[in-house]
Amino acid sequence: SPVDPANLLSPAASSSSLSQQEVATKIKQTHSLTVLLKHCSEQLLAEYVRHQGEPFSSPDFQPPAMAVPGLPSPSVPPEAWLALSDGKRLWHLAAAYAALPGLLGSVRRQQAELNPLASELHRQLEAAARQCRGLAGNLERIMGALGVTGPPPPSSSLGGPTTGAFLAKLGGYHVCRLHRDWAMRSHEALGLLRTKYPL
Amino acid sequence: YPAGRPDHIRDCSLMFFFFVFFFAADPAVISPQDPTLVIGSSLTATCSVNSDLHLKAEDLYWTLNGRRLPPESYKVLNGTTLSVALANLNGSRQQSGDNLVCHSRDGSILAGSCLYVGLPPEKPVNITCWSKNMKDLTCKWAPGTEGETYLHTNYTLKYKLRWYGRDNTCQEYRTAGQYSCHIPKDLALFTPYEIWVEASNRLGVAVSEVVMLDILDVVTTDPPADVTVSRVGDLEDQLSVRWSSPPALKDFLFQAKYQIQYRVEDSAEWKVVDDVGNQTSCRLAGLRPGTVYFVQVRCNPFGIYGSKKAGIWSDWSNPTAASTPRSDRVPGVCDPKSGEQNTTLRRELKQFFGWVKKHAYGCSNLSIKLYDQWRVWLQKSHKTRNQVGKDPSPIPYRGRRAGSSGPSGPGGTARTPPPPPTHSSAAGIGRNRLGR
Repeated sequence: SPVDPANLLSPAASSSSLSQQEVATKIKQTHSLTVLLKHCSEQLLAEYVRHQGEPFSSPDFQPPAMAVPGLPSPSVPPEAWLALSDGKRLWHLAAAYAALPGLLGSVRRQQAELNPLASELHRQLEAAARQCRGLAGNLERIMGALGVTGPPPPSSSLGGPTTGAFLAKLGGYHVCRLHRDWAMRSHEALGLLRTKYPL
Repeated sequence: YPAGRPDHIRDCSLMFFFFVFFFAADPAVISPQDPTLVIGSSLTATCSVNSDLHLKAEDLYWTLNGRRLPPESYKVLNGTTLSVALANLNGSRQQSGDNLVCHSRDGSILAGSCLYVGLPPEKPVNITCWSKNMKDLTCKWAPGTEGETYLHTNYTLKYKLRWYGRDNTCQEYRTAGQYSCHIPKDLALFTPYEIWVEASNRLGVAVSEVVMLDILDVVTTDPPADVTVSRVGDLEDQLSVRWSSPPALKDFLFQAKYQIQYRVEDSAEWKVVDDVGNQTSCRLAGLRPGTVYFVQVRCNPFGIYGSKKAGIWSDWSNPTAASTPRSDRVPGVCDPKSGEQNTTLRRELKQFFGWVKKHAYGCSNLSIKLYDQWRVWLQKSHKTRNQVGKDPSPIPYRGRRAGSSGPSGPGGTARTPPPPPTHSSAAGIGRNRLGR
């Protein structure tokens, strides 16, 4: 069972552990967080490619598809995404945001080696990981209040063999881009929730 | 993952999400991976495509930092391997390495390798150190290279007591600029240290000359505290500066010496007073009346523990401002010669009077002194500095009987001298002489 025993909002209990008002407030707050994430993730991607050099920084950069272990790509057709239930959308968001902080941390460690003087990039990567952790916590609380089961915690498969510098640049690019794509998706999903649970 | 997921989500994932796993093998491999090279050197790299991809060597091309490399530099080594020859490499464009990429014909990226092209570091130079209040040591240095090495260079400051073995490494960097380090504690006095800086990058290490010093020789203090600047009574050209010695060195036997610098509000030029000695006050003289001055004081812990050596000057104290009194506040003592000597008007008048004396007989009493007297009279009677433009009652003067017209009157602007009397019909001048 994916339930954390310390979580008071156990999905096993009824979904009215929080009042309607409290749930609606939490959703609104989380929606604001996704607005911030959308903005910051765009900035992070731009800052990241700037430091890797061409072809990463060129506007028509076409990276090869690449594995980012444990992080699904939200390449879902918009209609299909919208057709999912709130619970399913939240589930996928929770899975992504459980994995993103660790991945962003790995990218920061790699960039500390590749671009040791890019302090602004390092700062933004740390901030992004923090924001993702915050969003993950919020999502957990909302899901608990709505009686939705959460995903299992991500496997810590972030070790892996040390890659060459080019693959590290590429991997970091994918993490930053997925971070942005998921920010857009979460913003969309929370917007939908807000209309369903208005204050 | 798959085991725990409900059925409908598993179905959806096949359609909507794709979980991308590492390629069982990379599509292609570039060799060498991440080489480090000296500027100007050459490199031959190879790209070997995975045979599963059914790509031929002829289908590949290379780019370096996004720019396509010329096909003349390519060579097909076998069915699936293409090499490229790079010559006379420039320094890396970014510190994360130049991106050498192998593409298939449609442009997609198959593999990459980062090139690190630069120069080995040069010995760091100009190591200077100072100790604040004898508690710590901060050192700064300059990188040896004037130009770039193109590779990220790491600096390490090391130090050891001269006659004891152990090397220590400084930990707190960039406390006083990019090339600096701060040693906060555990420093011995009255004994020499050896200090040096090591610079290292991917191409090698360079070690600076060793600097030898005793902490006591490089002591500096905080700037003097409580700097106040005030007027000296009504004196319009003086200001009095007072301060207290920096608190931290009260316990150490030393004599401080001080320096003051001051400037007027709208000038960038500081004047320095050097011979302030040991006192904690000083009077500035020869200043301009009615002017705002900025004043700063700094301290040198001279003669620590009885040594004859000077220490290092502290930073200047924060500027303190004060203004000298305006000169019209001082009744009667106003000597027109002191403030006014340089005005254009006065200079021109002086010239005029000189000319008049030469060309108009009987104007011998005419001189700049008369103008000065007039100005003193002006100030006494009107109590204002400048009455230029106003028309006071005429001063009695002695020149008239001799036929001169006297001073040209209280004009605000200098007038051009009238033409010489022999030719002119200008009123007054020479009339009684020439006219009939």
